[in-house]
Amino acid sequence: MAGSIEEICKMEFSNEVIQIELLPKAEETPLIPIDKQYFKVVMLHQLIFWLVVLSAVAIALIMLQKLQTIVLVSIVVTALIVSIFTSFRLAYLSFLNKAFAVREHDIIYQDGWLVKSLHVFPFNRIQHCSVNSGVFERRFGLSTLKIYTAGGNESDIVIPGLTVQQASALRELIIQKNKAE
Amino acid sequence: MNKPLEWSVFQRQPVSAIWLILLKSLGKVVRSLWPLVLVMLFNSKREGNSSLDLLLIIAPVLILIISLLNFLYFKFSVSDSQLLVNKGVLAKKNIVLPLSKIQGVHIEQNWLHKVLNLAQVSFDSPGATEAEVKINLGTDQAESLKAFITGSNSLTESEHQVAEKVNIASLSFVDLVRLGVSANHLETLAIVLGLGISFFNNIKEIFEEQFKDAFTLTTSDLLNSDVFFIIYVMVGVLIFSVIASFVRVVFKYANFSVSKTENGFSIQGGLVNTTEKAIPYKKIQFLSWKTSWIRKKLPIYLLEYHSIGSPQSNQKLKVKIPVTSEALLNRLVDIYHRVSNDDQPVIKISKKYILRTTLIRGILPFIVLAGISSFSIGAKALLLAVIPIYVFISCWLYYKKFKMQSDSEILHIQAGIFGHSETVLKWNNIQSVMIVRSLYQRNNNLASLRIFTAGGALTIPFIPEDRAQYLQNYALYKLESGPSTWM
Repeated sequence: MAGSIEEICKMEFSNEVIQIELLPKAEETPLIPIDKQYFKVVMLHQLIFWLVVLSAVAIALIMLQKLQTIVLVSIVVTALIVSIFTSFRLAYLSFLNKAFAVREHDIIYQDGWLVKSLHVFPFNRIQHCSVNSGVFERRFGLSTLKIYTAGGNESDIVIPGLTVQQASALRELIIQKNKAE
Repeated sequence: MNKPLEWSVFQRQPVSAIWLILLKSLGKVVRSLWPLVLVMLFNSKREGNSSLDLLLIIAPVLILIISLLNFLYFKFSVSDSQLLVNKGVLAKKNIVLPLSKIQGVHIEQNWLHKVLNLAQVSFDSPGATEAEVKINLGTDQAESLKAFITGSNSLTESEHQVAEKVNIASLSFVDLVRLGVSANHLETLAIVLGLGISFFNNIKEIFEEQFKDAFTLTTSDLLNSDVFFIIYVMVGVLIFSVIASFVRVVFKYANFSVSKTENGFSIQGGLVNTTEKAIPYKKIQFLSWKTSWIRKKLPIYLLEYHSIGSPQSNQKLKVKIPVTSEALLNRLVDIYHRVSNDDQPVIKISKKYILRTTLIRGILPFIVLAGISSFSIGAKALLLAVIPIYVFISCWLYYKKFKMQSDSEILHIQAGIFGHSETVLKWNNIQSVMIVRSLYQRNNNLASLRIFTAGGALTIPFIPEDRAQYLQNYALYKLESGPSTWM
């Protein structure tokens, strides 16, 4: 790239050997689980979703008399029970796995149960962040932190289930770190 | 020509742009309603349906009025710091685009623009959902607006810049022919078939009553006709799609040239619809090039600079540069970073990737699709077994070809399924890194690495867990210890 040699010359030059084994390990960082209260929010979301689905199915079964056969009704009921159970179970497991950590130079966020991900964001790559709270979250004193990078939608991260204090402290920290780096 | 002053005043597009807007909306209407129009043209004569005739008169008038209003309500201005656009008749839209956020200015001309001596100016910005801004201007105006926005405020300076342009690659006629011949004809075949079938269906609906016999005749004929007829048809379609893809390439890459300016690349090309794109060096996040097995022999590579904003914006803004020699390719890659890590250790993806991916993307869809379709087509559903076979072969080839090397500056990936592709990424251009492990991967100590950059994301699937973790930690070390010079 043009001009890069001059740039290099301007910088103070040092070239120490890096001991690769001694690099800080993101995967060994102790993570802080998100607030336990957030489980209630997850359960409320699940409950509302399934209430809507159940009432839709119920209306369909009552309105359309053609569907009122024992075989069909029993299939629908079993399918519903199975999917409701799986959905609640998965929501619970994924809640258990949501955790984060703040290091000197980055934020770590772990998510997912079936497919587990560990996403790390250096402070000097964060564009901006925002703190939101939904209706249920406010009820339990929780907030959601959204962090945006220039890496597109998929690269942005949403950390739910933070206490209001945690969220605003994190936001402040990101702003401070971003200025410093 | 005191252009710089002029831009700060709110102004409309040139009057001749009305024609453009008019024809564009007419085109939209015709494209969505042409079956209906056909029905009207054929049926109204017999029945004398006056209400439909009325519609045929009202519709053009409406299009005219809407186009005029759109033209009158579209105003823009450029100040020293931002580009302002006010548009919309009922739903007003004010778009503010800070000039510092504009990553690139593109000038495009299709045949209509050429006839009217206009050019369309569009802007690249990193915001994902930022409304796209497109302004039609006279060709001189477009150039001077581009010059104004890219920083050289006076015309003399932009002339100065033109003089400094160094041509680094252009396509000769022979190159163009080679590029056209080696194009992906199967892709064009799919497009031709898709368009043909939808066209046929539309026609069929309209004329079903008149030509009912003809249609049933042809389908049953087709089934009973001899093998030679079917082969003739297939060869015909094949030749047609080869010609079509050849023509497509020629239209896209005629007069193609890449030149180097002080700040970045300038890419021009196109036979009927010409485009001119500028990519500043510092906006380039990573680059990749690919070639098919035919093209490798010629050799032709398609080089792509992934710059900020390109994943969000549409395909049109993506710049693929046909490169006709390995030496030239190396020179173009060197501008980003020299690739010289052949001696570094190689990371390969695990063999488990093949079976696992075939199971999830091939066999599962096959079971579901074959299960559903067996109700209607019976045993023929077993033909869908080509899906898992295809998935298996492509996974196996991907496994064979995937090779990743890294040194202290760059990450170099070689991959490809039927062709060959390479990607070069500087550690410093990374935005964030993510390790993804499914239940299966956890049990087998494997992990996939997702690397996010401002020019798009890269995935390195199914590598040993400790390698993925090492790469993640190393990337973070590079990002956090160095200056943040990704842009």
